[in-house]
Formats: sequence, C-alpha cells, structure tokens
Amino acid sequence: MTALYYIPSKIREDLKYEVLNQAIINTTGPVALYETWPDRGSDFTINDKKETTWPKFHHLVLQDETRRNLFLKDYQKRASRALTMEAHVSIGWLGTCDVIYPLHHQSGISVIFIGGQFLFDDQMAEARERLERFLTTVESKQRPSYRHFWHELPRLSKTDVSKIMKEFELAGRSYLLALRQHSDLRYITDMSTHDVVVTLQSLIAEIEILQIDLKEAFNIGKKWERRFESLLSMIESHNTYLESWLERRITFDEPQYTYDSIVELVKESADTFRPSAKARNIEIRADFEQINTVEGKQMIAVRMQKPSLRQAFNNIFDNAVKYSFSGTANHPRWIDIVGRLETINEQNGYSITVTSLGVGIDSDEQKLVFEAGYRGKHSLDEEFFGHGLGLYYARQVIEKHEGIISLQSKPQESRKYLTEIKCWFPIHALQNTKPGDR
Amino acid sequence: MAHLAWIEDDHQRISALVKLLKDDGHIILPYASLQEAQNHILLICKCDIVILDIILPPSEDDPYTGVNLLKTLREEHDYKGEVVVCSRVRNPAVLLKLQELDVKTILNKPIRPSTLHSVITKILTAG
Repeated sequence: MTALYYIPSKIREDLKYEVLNQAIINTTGPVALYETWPDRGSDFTINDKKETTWPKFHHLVLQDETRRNLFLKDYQKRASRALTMEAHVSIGWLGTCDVIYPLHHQSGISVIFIGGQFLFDDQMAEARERLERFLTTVESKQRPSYRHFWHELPRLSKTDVSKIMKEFELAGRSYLLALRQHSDLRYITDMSTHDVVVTLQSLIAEIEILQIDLKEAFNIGKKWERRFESLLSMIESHNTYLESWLERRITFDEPQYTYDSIVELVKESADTFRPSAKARNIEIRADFEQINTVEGKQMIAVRMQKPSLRQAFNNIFDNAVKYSFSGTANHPRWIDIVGRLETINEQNGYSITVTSLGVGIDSDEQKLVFEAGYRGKHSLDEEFFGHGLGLYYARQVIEKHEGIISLQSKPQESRKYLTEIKCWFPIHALQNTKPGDR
Repeated sequence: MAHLAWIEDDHQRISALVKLLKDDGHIILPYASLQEAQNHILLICKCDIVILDIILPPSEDDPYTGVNLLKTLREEHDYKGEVVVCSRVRNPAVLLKLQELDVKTILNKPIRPSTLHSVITKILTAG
C-alpha cells in the first residue's frame, strides 16, 4: 500500500524510538532498525553523510557512541545480506554477535531488527578468532580496553536468542502496524474532511459571488461589504479551526505541560480584548486573590499546556465581549474577572469567574452551549457572528487540565442577562514553584 | 480567451468557484473523475491551464489519483502548461511530488473565487 510512504518523518522517528525502546527493554541490548523501501535509489546514509554504494537504509542504533560509526557500517553490511535470509545470529567485526530478524511486509517494505553485542554460546570459537584478528589492526595500547569490553559481554544460549528473535518479531510487526494505522488515519482524515471542505468551499464561493453580484446590481454600501467579509472570514476560520483540531489528532505530539501562573495567563488573555471592549465602552475589571509573588508574578501554579489554555480563555473573553451590551461614555458597561482560592472535593484549587451583562442564555440551554456547534437562541441574531465552537473548545481544554467549567445566566431587568462563566483548576505547590517549571 | 481544464469531482457543487473566470470569457472544461479526464486527455493537453483537484475518484487504492493524472500529463503527453492545484491535502510526500511535477501554485481549499480568478489571470497575463 503506497500510502505507507506518506508519513511525516518526525512521526516515523517517534514511532521508531517507541518500538526500539521497547525492544531494548525486552532484549536488554542495543538495537538497530533498518528499513528498505522498494522505490528508493542506491543512496546510503550514515550519520547524514551520503555514500552511494549501498541500498538506502534508515537506521537507528542506540549504543556506545564512541564505537557508533564502526558498528553502524558493520550492521549495514550484514543487514543488506539479511534481506534474503531467515532470522539468524550473525557474527560481527569484533566477534560479537547480533540477532537479525527480517520482517517482510507485503508492500515490499522490509523491517530488519538487529540486536547485538553479546556472545553466542554456539559460536564462541569463531567469535574469539574474530576478536584476535581485529586486535591485530588496532594500536597495542587500545587492545586491553577492547578485550575488557569483549569479556564483559553477556553470553547467550539458544533459548535466549530465540526469545530475542521473538521480541524483534513483535517489535517489527508493531512498528509496521503503527505505520499502517497512522497512514490509514491520515487517509481517513483527508477523505472525511474532503466532504466537509467541499461544503465550506461551496458556501464561500456562493457568498462571494453573491456579494459581487449585489455590489454590481445595487451598489451595496460598505456596511454590507463588511458583513459579507465577516461571514466569509467566519467560514474560513472554521476551516482553520477544523484543520488544527484534526492535525492534533493525527500527530503523536505530546503537549508540553508546565507549571505556570494561571493569574498571569488570564491577565494576558484579558489584555488582548481590552481594546475591542473599550471601543464599545466596556471596561474589563480584574480582582485576583493574591497568594504569593515569585519573580514579580502572582504564582498560583497550575499545571498547564499554555497555548491551548490561553486559547480557551481567549474564547471565553471573546464571547464575553461579543455578547455584552455596549455602554456609553457616561455609563460604561463592565466585564468582571474574579480569581479566588477554592477547594472542591478536598482538592485545593483556584477559580476564575468571568461575569458580563448582555445577551443571555436561557436556563434550558446553559449546558448545551458547551456542545460543538450549539449557539444559544438569543445569540442567533445576525449581528452576532459565531460558529458555536468557542465554549466547546474551552471545555475540552479545561477538562484536559483536570479543571471544571460551568455557566450561569440569570435574567435581569429589561431583557438583560448576567452571565457568569466559572473555571476551576487544581493548584499545585504555591511556594518554591517558578514559572516554566515542569 | 483561454481554455481551462478543471478536473474536480465536485465541480457541480462548487461551480461558483469559476464564475468570475467564465464572466471573463474563458472556456471551462470540467472533468469529474480520473477516468473522465483520461478519456479526454488529448483535449486537456490543448488547454492553456489545468486546474486540478488531487483527490479524485476512484480512490480505494490511492486517494491522491490527481497526482497520477498529472504524472501522465507531464510524462506521457509532455504537457508544458501551468497546473494550478486546488485541493486540500497537506501530506508532505504529496506536496513534494507536486513540486517534482512542476506545480508552482497550490491553493488550499476552501478558496474564494476572486483568489482563483486573480491567480489564473496572473498566469495568463505572464504567459
């Protein structure tokens, strides 16, 4: 299946390390993995230096770095021969042995595991002979260290070697399976998003043509042009959001978590929205309960994946500003941010509550607004552009941070609602934790 | 007035994408599948520009059949015209292959009609 080739090299590297580490743990020795790809040319790469004699291998050798190059070359000579052989023990340049396990995939890709640096009971005589032959080629002062190294190697029996071969077979199969699954996932993602994207494409094309036709026929003013532009941007941003969401799911990147100040993160996020709030005479006010200060920052340490948590709060503030009623110069409106220590279920935590006065959410919808695509009926007025994903994303992220998010919206007089979004996070050591600690 | 081959399986659903090009008087020749395109390959080779989607039916074995079609155009029919890829594939291996097949412009869907119009006009003017 040609799709096996379509794996970003970073993910292939991650998969290899995962499989190889497992093989090393199970076999307690250095392991190399080789692959041959049927349509590759005759390039050969060793430590990023190209040679042209050998078939191309992608290799990983985890072993003593000082002997790395010599072992690599030796491995590759023997790996190229191993393609046509069954699993076997091979004796290397130093008389040390490797177990070589070739695994041939039906698409023609071969995965070969080589684990080495042991002495095989059945081949001790030959191993000793090779050692002595090698030692004649090195300086006499180096010979003791090589002898010492050789004698320290484990001796393996036939049973031990059979076990290693089995481990390699499992490792090789799991590697190929992981590659196949990833490839299938990427293919499925491309296919499934293809249909969604066609719909988005159709919408964007029709809307822009409508805008152009109306402009030509009726000379619509700038206000209408801006509204069309907002609509087009909204669809395009939905596409961007979909892409980044999907990409996170098909890569194996683990997010980096750090201990950082939740107060500082919320302040940074709120500051982003101050200008747009001020333009509508809305003031953003903040009141954070202080605990201690480290390096000038209020250190309420939450274990967080900063970029995604910042985006979650961006979504919350974006909603708060968007759905707040505008104030006037004499009577500004406000959005309040309150941070307080709070214990929930015997867990120390910190809550951030964002309160605003504006378009509300009826009580029967207050849980639904956290679902993908849902928008409260009061927000469906044409002046409020949104796609119902902001709070959905915020909840996903906050729950990943072991936090809790909730919403309350209470009617006030004159069809105004006081809406409160509360986020609670478990906190960690309040002292002796510096920003960026992992 | 140019002849533009448009190889796109959903060309009926997204016909508005090429409206501005039609308004300019260009002839758009749509083909909805690999088979249909192959049946009219000689006609496509006479077009000034090919607008190509990468994901075309059939797609059981290889979803990116548009790449194979492009390979056929370039290698078997020596097509020298510009190819504008309008698709939504981020696969690095596919993107590399497109570069190798002399694709200079890749537009990721969804695209605005004005964007496609601007790109095609620029190519035609430069040519």
